[in-house]
Amino acid sequence: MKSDTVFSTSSLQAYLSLVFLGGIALALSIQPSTRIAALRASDVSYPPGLFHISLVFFFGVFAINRGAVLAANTPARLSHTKLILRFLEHIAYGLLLFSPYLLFSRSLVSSGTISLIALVLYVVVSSLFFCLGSLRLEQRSDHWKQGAFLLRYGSFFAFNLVPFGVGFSHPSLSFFLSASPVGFASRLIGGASALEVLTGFLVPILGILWLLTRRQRFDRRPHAV
Amino acid sequence: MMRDSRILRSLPRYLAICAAFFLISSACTAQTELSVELGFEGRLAPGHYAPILVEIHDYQSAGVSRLRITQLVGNEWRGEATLQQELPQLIQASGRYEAVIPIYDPVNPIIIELLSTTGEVLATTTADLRGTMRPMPYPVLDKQLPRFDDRAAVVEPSSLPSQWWGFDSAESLWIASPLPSETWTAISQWVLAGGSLVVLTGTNFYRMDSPTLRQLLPILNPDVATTIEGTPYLSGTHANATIDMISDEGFPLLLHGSYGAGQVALVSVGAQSVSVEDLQMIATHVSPARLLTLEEPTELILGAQTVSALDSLFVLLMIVVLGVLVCVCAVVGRRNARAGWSILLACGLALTVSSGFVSFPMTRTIAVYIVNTRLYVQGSVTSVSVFSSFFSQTADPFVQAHEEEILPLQVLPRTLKGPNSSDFYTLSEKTRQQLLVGEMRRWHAYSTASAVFDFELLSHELVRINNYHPADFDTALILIDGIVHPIANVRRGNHEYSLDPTTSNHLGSFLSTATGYTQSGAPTVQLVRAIKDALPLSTGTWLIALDTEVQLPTTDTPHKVRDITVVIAQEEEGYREI
Repeated sequence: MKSDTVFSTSSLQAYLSLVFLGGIALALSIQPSTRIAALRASDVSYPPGLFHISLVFFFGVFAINRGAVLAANTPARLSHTKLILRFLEHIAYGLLLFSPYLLFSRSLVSSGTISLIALVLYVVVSSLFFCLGSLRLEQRSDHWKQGAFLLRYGSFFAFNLVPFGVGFSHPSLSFFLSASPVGFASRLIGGASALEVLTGFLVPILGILWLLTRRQRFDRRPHAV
Repeated sequence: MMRDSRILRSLPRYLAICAAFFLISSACTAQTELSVELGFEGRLAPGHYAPILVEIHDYQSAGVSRLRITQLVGNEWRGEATLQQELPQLIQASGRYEAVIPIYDPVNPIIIELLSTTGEVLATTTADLRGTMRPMPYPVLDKQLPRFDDRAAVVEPSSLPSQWWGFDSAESLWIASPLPSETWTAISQWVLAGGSLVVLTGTNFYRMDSPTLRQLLPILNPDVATTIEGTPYLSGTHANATIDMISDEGFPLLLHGSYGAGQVALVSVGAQSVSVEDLQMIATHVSPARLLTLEEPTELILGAQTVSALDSLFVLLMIVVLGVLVCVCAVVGRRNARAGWSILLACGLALTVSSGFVSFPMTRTIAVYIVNTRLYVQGSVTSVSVFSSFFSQTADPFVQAHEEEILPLQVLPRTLKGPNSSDFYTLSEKTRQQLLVGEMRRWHAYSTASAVFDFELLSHELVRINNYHPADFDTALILIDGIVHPIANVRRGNHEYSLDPTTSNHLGSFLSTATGYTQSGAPTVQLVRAIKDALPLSTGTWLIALDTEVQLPTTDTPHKVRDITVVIAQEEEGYREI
């Protein structure tokens, strides 16, 4: 059994982690059935957007992991279409597993079903971007595995955090928060503007296009040698 | 000659054209103007209602206009909020328009605007009453009286408001002149709700006399008597009145009695016979107005409500099922990938549909919880007080519906800074606002109504109740000299109810033990506890009825509204003996 299919052992661990962590995030987002007085007296807050932010974050980590695994098991000359389809297979499998959670979570968000659909689309696009990014980093650092691991996850965290630094630096740049997957999810649940939605989708789409074109050049190098 | 006669014939035509031009030009140049009088002598107390008189001059608009009051609250340090309220009156012509509005922070100017049907501002004026504002309610004196208290406002009796909550900023109301019957009705309703009235009579009594005044006075069979020295004073039977001051000539100068939740003090001589020193002495015996409030029990009832939430156990179940599903799919999928995908699709879809049913947003997501307590205090007149507490689980703006003519007075947070907005806009029948998630607010408003009950104690075991209210009451209590007789259900119409002596209980014992008496027992007890100190429930025959209705109105923001109606009525015959 190849380790890059959705039914492989490494995939099983990844999907189980996804299901478990996603479920915990959903459970933490739910306010307990309690009296209003107790709810007001309690300092514990139940952020209804926690699950949706976690969804984007966990799928990002999952995509980084899948990208690295696929890099180790994919022939170097695999066409872009086949590569993307293979990634999409993993993402679709994960989203299918998450669909009960997603439907359950629609009553947690006031912005409605359209926001939820937009979030799912964003998860697909951003996960594909992280898969490709992880794959490229893995392929470029064949001789330095430990460094590749740090680089992959370090880049992912930086990608999530740097836009916050830019967005909070000046009120006019607040839309830049949507460049971060976590920022985009929180803005979308709270009711994002068109500019924020555009920024959120544009960053991973441009990233995908850039990675695919860079990969082509990268793949051509052995021919040149 | 012919030419002259032609000129003469056409003269009226020229005059008519000139007049038309003049009228058109004057119509074009005249502008609608507003002049405003607020409070009694311009005195405004924050957190209280105050009468407003808006005079509209040269009204120009062809359609129906509305008046909008904009109040700014706070400052740079506390934070700021803009509160807007539209008066229920529809303006169609120049004239004087009276209303009673809530006052929030009179240190800021109050803006009064006349709006067209399209929302265009036709005229505007600003009331700046910083110099005359009062931090607390103040005495309101009839102009017949000298200003014996610096805080007091002296008013023309004919200018008193005809809506009883217009007296909300009055600590006590001193009357020494005849009043129109609608003003006496408003004063009665205010005293019934907890107001404090001082009536100066003497020989003026016969000019002031009216059935409403007689209901209010703490004496029966009032009549003007004269002392040996020739001083006229009002005398009568005062079995239940308390005599506070005796005059030098030996007759009761000041007596007081309660009426509903309020107090009525009777000065038995006329205004001209009392010196400033005497008035100052009398004022020390007069209790300040304290309107009956159910804000606290309403908030307690809201706090006791359980929020409807999603089922956490179902999430745990989903985690387990999905974990098993991943393992099964992996085992099956390694042998046959298509079978693995099929199992995932079938089971995943089944679980998704189940989770959709379990978490149906219409039943699971309540964004705003509201408890409205509507208190009717029924005497010879009826006063209505509405207390609303609400809790938001959404940061989205929402609309709270209320009665058409009321302008709620909301209790604002101490600090107006931060992510929450304290702004709101009250239109006819609704208030639009936005709260933070987990924030609770409250408001109160006042209104009037006709009598809800007509009841009569036929014997010690039988009572006849005529219920005019549009609905039945879930719970009712008959109190006879402090003994509580519960009645399960008071139906609409005229019915007789038997009082079971075995279920009767003393009021004190009832309040300490009857928490779980009926399904709505706990709120009943909380509400009766809140009103028992304000009303003399341990004497006379009283009927306290309570009805609770829970609604889930279909609005953009899902609401759960619990409407509680409480009616307190005393048997008519005993009312004057309160």
